[in-house]
Amino acid sequence: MNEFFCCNKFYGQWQTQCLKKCESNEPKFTFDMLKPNEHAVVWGFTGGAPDKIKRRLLELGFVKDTWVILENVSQMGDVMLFNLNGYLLSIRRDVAKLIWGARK
Amino acid sequence: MKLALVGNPNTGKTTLYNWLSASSEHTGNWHGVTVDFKEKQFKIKDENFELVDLPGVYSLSPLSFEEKITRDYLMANKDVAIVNIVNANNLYRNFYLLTEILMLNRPTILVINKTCSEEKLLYKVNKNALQKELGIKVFEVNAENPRDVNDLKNELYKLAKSSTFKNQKNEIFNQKFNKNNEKIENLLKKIEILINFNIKEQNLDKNFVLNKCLENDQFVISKLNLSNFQKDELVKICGQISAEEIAKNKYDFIGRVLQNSGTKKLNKTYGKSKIDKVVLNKYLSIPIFVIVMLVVFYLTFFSVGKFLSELLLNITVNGLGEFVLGLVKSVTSNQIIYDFFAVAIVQGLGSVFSFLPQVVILFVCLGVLEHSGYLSRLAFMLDDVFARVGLSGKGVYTLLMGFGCSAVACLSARTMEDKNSQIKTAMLAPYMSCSAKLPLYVVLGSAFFGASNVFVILAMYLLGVVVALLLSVFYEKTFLKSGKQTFILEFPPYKVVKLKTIKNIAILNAKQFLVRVGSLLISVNVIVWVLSNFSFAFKYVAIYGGESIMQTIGKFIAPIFAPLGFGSWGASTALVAGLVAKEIIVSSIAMINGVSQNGGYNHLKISSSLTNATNPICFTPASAIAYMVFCLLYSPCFATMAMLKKEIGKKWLLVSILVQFAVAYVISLIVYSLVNVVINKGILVAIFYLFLFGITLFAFIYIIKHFTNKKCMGCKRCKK
Repeated sequence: MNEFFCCNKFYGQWQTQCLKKCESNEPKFTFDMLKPNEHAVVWGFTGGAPDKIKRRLLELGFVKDTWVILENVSQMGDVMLFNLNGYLLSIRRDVAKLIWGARK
Repeated sequence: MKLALVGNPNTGKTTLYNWLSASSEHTGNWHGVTVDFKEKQFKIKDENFELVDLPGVYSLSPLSFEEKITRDYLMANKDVAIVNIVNANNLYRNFYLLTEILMLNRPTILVINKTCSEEKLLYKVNKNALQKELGIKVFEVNAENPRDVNDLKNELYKLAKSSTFKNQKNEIFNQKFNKNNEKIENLLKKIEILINFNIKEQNLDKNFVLNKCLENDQFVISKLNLSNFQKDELVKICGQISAEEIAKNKYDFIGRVLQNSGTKKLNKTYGKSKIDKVVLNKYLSIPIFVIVMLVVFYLTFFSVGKFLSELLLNITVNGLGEFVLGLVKSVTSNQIIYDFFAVAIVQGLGSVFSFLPQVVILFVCLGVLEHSGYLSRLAFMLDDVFARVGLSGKGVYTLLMGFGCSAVACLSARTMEDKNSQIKTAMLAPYMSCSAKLPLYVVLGSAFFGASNVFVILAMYLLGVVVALLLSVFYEKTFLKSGKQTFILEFPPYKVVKLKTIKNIAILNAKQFLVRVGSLLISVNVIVWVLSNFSFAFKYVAIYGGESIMQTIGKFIAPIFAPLGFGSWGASTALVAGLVAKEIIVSSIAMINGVSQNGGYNHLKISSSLTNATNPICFTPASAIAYMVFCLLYSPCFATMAMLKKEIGKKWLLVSILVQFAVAYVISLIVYSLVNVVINKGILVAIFYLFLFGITLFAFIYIIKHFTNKKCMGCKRCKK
């Protein structure tokens, strides 16, 4: 079983099973936890992602193994500006929450 | 030959369209400028071309209304050749759409639009290798350069003459793409066996439909007329693969194509700029936004705009007016005809015509904002606020365009991702103070507030925005819930706005303004003049003479507005006439109040006539403000209504009109009583009243909430 699934809150049923395993690892995270100028790699979408939004994000390039940098965050922090394959794309924080991956 | 321009948003489709077909469609440096498809015919040498400009899309699976237009057009028109425009700075992402377009098996060419100079390009393309790799013609052009476009025209001519292009089926691509991934290939074969018959029956593009079925695209599947058995089987097949894998496969393919064709990418970011460090700075962003808006306001209403307006007034309107009247006098001595020209033409038209420079400058300012790339940053900044009132940050485009023209703004709401927020945004656009309301503010403001009319006019603009945002909260909480919408927005790079672009915007808008004045305004003015000068028995009574048709009607309507302080027949009929177009309010006032004998036209004369209590239309400072507020907020003009009906349907149009009227009435009532209190009893009392009003309102909302929200949400405060 993928290690990430154990820790993600969308997969709560496994959480208790794998809690011990996860505690030893660095916490895995969704993209809303990124801070400005941090790098990350896209691994996939969380289970709660609506189909339409997921498809649009995939079209825009949030596919597996894509390198992403968080360039900027808006005034109140609700919108995030990502550098994705060499262009800038802003999405809301609750959309960023649907994407998970690994932080560099 | 029929050509359709397809591509990602903001890749220069409309720019190319304008050059190729010699049109002047609206362009801009942000995503979603074009929201409707446009068609035009043109000729290259002896070959006829039909060019279609389509809204920008990211893929052929649409989210918003304007993206559906592109998809539907491409699926319905089988005889069209596709010109796919890609941005040379963002090939990787742009090629995603190309893979979907090539699946359609239409004759396709690829146009790589180089929007900046050679050295700054992020992707270095080897054209010939790419042509070989994709099996289609590739052209590199700069859509803003006429020489490049001429070269492209020659190439298009050659293509139109060649029969191989017309029968192009993109076999090289399809073979390569299908062999890209074994798992997908197998699944596609399974689907093909399952639905091959349906595809042939419905006469659809096989490769495209197969791939879309694999992606579980409901629209395409519904077009196939599948039986229940087929549907179940299809779901089973689709269940074996995730959307992530399909997209990954496409991007892998694109990566391979780019690599094989020797494309090099610089390690830079498209659209990233040092300006953003200042503009999007935590502390500076809002002040910069306010300053930008104030500059636009200042340029339009004061410095340049005002100066030019006065110049135009003195030279043209007065001079021309006197000349026309002199001419009329020499031809005929009939008083009625002379009155007609003096009042309806010289005064009525002159009152609006002299605002030409100000309106044009306003549009130029908005155009500069659009072309600079600042708008997208604005949407990014303001999405925080907009999300809290139930709008998307993209609503910034709609609202800002609402300052220019409400009808155009309503159309731009199409870019919203869901229907409810589209309706909501379109309904809010008319609250923005459009350019047609500008003359009224200046005339009324200068009549009653002298030098401090700056603040009154500015307050009007702010009021419009505030009311729109508050109403958005109201709609969100009641019957137009859109919940948390997605806000996905690309950042275009900053661009220096060329003088030529500014010139084009100015000429285009000046033309539109003149056409409006010359056709709509003249005809309505004639009607208003006839109605206000003739009685029901069709006897000439002049404006002061007695019971004209308008006066009779006006006296019926006037009591409605009496509580707001402008219950005269003239003021209320001007409002009714203003439904045709908002400029008519000022021209009607000028005509009804006008002192025709002296000829010529002057703002001051109109302004001073408004303060004179013996005139049909007169105001006090309080009622003047109330009148301005009412004109700002009440039901939109017919053009906007027609657009709203087209965009959001009859039901919502009716809601929109009624809500606007009610809001206008209530707010001008509040403003009127408040200003009266300030004038009569001092500002402290007014603040006290406002405070009381606020408390009552708050209590009212609280009580409603308390009684309607009976469901226990399980909070810890009570132990139920």
